[in-house]
Amino acid sequence: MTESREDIVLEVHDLFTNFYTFEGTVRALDGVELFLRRGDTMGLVGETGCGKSVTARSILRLVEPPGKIESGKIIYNEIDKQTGEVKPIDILSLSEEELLDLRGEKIAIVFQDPATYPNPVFRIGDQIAEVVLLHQDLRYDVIDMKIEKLEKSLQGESDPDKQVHIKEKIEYYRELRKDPPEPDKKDAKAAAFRRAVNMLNLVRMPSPESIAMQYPHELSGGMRQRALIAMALACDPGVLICDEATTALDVTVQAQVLKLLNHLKKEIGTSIIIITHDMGVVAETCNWVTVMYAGTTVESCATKNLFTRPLHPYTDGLLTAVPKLHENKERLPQILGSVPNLITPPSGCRFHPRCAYATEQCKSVKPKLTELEPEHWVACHNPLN
Amino acid sequence: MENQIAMTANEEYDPMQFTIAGITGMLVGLVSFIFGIAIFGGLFVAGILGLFSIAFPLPEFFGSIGLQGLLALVTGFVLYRTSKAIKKHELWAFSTSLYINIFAIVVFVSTSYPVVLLALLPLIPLLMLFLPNVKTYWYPTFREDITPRIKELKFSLRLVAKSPLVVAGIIILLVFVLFAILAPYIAPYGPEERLWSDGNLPPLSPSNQPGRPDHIWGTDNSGGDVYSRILYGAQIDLQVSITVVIVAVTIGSLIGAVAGYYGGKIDELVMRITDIFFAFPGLILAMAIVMALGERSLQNVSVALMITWWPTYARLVRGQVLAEREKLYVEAARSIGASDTRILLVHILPNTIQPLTVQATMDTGSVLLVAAGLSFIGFGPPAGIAEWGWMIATAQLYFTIAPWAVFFPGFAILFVALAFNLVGDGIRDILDPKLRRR
Amino acid sequence: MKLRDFILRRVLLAITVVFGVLTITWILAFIVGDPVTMYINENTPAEAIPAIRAAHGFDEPWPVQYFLYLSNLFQGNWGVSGSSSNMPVLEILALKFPATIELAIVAMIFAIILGIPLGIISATRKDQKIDHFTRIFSLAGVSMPIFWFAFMLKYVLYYYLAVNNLPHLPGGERYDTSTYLDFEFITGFLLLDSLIQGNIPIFLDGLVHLIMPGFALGYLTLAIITRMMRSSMLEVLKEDYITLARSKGLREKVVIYRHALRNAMIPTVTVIGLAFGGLITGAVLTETIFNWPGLGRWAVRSILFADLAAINGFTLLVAIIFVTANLIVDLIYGVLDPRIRFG
Repeated sequence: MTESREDIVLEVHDLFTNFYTFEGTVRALDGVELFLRRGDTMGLVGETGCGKSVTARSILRLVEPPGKIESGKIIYNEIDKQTGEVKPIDILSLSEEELLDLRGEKIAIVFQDPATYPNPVFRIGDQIAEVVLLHQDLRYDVIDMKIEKLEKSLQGESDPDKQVHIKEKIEYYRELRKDPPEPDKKDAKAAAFRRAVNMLNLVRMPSPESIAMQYPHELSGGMRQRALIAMALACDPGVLICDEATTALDVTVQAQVLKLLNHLKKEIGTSIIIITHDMGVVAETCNWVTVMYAGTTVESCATKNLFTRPLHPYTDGLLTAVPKLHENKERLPQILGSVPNLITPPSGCRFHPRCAYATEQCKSVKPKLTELEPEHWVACHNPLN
Repeated sequence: MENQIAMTANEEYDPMQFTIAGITGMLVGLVSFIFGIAIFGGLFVAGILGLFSIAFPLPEFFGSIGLQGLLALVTGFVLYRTSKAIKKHELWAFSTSLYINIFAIVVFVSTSYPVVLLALLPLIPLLMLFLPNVKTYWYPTFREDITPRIKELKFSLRLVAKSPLVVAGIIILLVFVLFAILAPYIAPYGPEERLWSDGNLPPLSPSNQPGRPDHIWGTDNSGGDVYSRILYGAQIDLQVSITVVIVAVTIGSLIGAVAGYYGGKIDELVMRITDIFFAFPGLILAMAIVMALGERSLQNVSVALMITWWPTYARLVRGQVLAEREKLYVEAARSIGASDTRILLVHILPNTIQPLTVQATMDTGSVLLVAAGLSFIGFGPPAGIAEWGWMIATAQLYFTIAPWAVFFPGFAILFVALAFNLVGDGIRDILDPKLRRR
Repeated sequence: MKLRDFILRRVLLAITVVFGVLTITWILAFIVGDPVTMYINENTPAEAIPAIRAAHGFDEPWPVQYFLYLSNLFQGNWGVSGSSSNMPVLEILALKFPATIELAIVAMIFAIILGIPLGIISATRKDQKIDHFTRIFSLAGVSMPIFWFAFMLKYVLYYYLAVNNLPHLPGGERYDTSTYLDFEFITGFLLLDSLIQGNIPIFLDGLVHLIMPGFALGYLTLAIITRMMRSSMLEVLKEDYITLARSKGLREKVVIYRHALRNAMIPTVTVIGLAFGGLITGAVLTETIFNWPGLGRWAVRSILFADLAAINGFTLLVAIIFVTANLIVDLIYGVLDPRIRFG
């Protein structure tokens, strides 16, 4: 991973996160390595409990007690909009105060369950407006809104004297727009709400104005998920993490949401991480895949490469376990053994107890993620092929 | 179903033994049920007739074991039902029957002579469960079932031992229970004993009567020994609050379970009635009931408090039953043809026991407070009886001379109520699966 | 539209409950007790009793009696209180009501102002020193026999200090009746009346007199609110939408006081409604100790004289206040939690 900072928007190195539970310390993340290229859609795949969600939360430092990020490096490479210079931000060393600017504005996350994530007592529009208000410069919005309003009243006005008066006012605001003052709270709120409605429109909500006035429980699951995506995208974040964002939805809605994400990526220019255990979703939407197993990264490559030439035995097992329409099998092949207990994880390579190719080396030495073939990283002592 | 599968392996299968076990159980259940009806129904009839001022003399001992009568009634019914299921070889009934028999023995042993002999009866079906054929049928499954539960219990007990507040609560309660039991042996003076020469003595002062013990917590206005009276008061206060809660829990959860399980009009009716009861603050309703009952006695206070408290448990159990009823495993049980009793006993009741225990423990403290408050405003036991609330009520008139006579009884109330709250709070945290594994 | 339906439904429900309450008090006073005792005393000759019974319709069949009872109540005829020189019960209730409500409101304000922040602090600093302190403080509050606590307060802050010639709080009454002889009530609420009349000394005196009874009465409610606030806050802080709020980059303060508090308030508000009934109950006990000329002290006095009409009226009034308080809570609930309105 020696690429220039301009290409890579987010990188994670050697990340360790533990959970201190009653039974013992759960070593949930054990040296995770990831990178996300600017403009990519990356799939982060693995079995349930392999640490995908913990990785996502660690990136935003949202791991709550009894969990704790132990060590590692998470870097967000921000491109300065004016100078075009790359400014790396080390997330783990940010202060609480600086962290607030990162969350929602630079990296946003969409969570799994649309039923429990929106706050039930606030209107959808207010919840989106809240992020906008927090992170966005609304000075222009406020003035635009005022001008728009005046123009509307101008149309309905027949009295020529008043027309002149309104036109003067519009002129005044146009002048003001060159160097807009800080708006007062009420105006800013109204402008933020207007943006929220725009966002809802962007995620293709029917009649966004009325949706914005509704409470979460009045919407269907798919609509709520879209509202959450609107919330996440409201500040044009550099990275959008979708943590199983489509798992709870039914297949047709899931397809809609995925299509929407792809579309929005082009429109806003966000890089996306899609966390899922559904290989179909990955094949359809992602151009890069990172595979995780038991808290470690095992393989990272272009999607096409992964499906045609998996190098890690685990990835291979994972792919053969996916049912295919054109094959007629009595029983799907499965990976032998079960997911290891992360309180007492296996030594060396965490996959070695279930691996058919395991050697003595695998039991003692933890394999490093290396670029085995061009554009294809694998952490394995005995890769396939 | 499950029993048939298990049965095929057993070659020396003798259905007679099951029939014997079932029938003895049913008989004992019937006896217990009839006995319960006799006592509880008798008390009930006496109470109703008493309202119309018709004398209905009851045998002396009946009055003292009304609570056990109620419990015998309920256990009798359950025992009958489970034994019937044993006859039909239904696997679930065996362990339930085991528990119910043990519970029946405890209930009867806790009654006084001559009913205590009835405790021998549940022993018979209990032993019947261990007939060789019967035992091989249910015991392995039972053991498999019980081992993780015992493990869980041990784990819970370890958590209890680790929580200093719960341990403190339990110790306080144990001390006061010991006080209540041992009062006649350790109290230097009798509960109603008054030494007129010893009025208003401060704590730790010797008696003015030669040869009498010191008054370690002083005396009240009429020369009663505060320490002794508090010890004897523990008998009354603990007895009242615990009995009230047990009866209210039994009645309330029966009504709540029926309302929740059958739903519809019964449920609607029960909920509206509880609504009305909840429209009164506890002390005020109890006060109005005692007032209407007329006579100033502990019994009336207890009855009033029971009437005041049952709706709490009816609501709690109803809610739990409603929640459990909708769950998949109950649906599954119903779809394989399990009876209503079985579903209630095996699936739903065990899930309501935990919140019920927590609520009941905390409520015992509240009942104690309300009972003390009632006697403070004049609805307690007859004047002169050693009861904490009443002690404060009488002593506060002389508080400028003898403040200690107010201070110590109040402290006793505070301590016991605090202990119940500590234990209830602690149990809730320990049983809460969300907090459990942290 | 939907909010209106919700309100209508709640109000109807409250009315049915009030009818139930009337029925219960009737059963208690007329079926369980003997209503004739309301109209006789120990001097009434035994042979006159049947005539009194007949005069008030107590020998009629039950349904007729029930109807009579209800029609009497609705006409404002709540009986006469034998222990208060045969004054009509409703009149006494109206007379004593403001003193009790004033005390209860002060206690409630005090409990809410202290209880909610204490609960929040305790929840957000779980298992720290302040949390342990708050938990013990509130556990003691729910275990405290209120009459004893009031008494101990009075003993220390009034009697003990006064005996030692130290500045002390007044030991009872609503205001210093010996200094302000000529004070006249308008509405019956001392603080309000003194302000209307511009009589600041009496206003301050009234406040000083409220401190001890208010605290004694409010402690239980304070404890209940604190406990509820703490546990519901802890519950809410574990919810997914709090994680979402944090992921938006909101400040921890905003997360707690905007996103969590509103949700955590929902169960707390219910408890506040229930606690209002507890305050009236507590008033019965506290007023006796502090010689407070309100409903509670009057009720206790009526008990001593076995004044059935008085107790019946008192019970009814308290139940109606309680039902009203819960109705108001239900309506607040509807505003706080948009989900409820559609339930």
